[in-house]
Amino acid sequence: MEYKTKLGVLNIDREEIILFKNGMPGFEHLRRFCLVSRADTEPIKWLVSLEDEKIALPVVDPWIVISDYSFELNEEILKELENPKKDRVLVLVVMDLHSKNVTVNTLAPIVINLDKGIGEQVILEDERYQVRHPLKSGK
Amino acid sequence: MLVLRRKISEGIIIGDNVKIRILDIEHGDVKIGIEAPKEVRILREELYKEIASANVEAKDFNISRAKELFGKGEKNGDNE
Repeated sequence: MEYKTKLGVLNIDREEIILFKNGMPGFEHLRRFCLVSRADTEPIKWLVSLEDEKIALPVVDPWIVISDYSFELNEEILKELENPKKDRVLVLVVMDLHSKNVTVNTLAPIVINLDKGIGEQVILEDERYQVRHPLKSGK
Repeated sequence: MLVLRRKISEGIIIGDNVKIRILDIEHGDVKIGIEAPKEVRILREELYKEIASANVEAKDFNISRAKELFGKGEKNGDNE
């Protein structure tokens, strides 16, 4: 099915849709997203809303930013994600490419159950991580 | 909004299984104890708002910056 999105018209199969049952902070009303890869922005990928063509978020693999990034998912979140298999969980962090300094939100990673197509932005309680974690290098 | 006045050690019960108690008040800081089922998410409001505003700002990306950021043409030796 074709969707008008911030990255243009995309042809998205049903299996590619990621459902955020509670939306995301700031986008509580949006439920259906899909993850888009573009060769010209790799390794940055795009979490694109299928319901609001003005909304897409740049996301990256957190281990690019913090090589020993880790967190535990509690039972409640695993339940929300419908008990994903360990090797079928995708973790991404939202990148801010808008502000002067590029940052990533390592305190609230996006966790996706790839088999069920369910996603959630999880808020961690971990002092090592922050909402605006600066990207290293002089850029 | 319901507004209540409570003293130290007094509490509030919300629904069947959420209990809130005022533990201490000192210099304008209020220490609150909350008992709730695990599936009830409890967050400091300002943290949720900070994440929400970071998400909202992230949607206003500059795609050319995304293309340049990990640009293959500019290796910065320190990662190699």
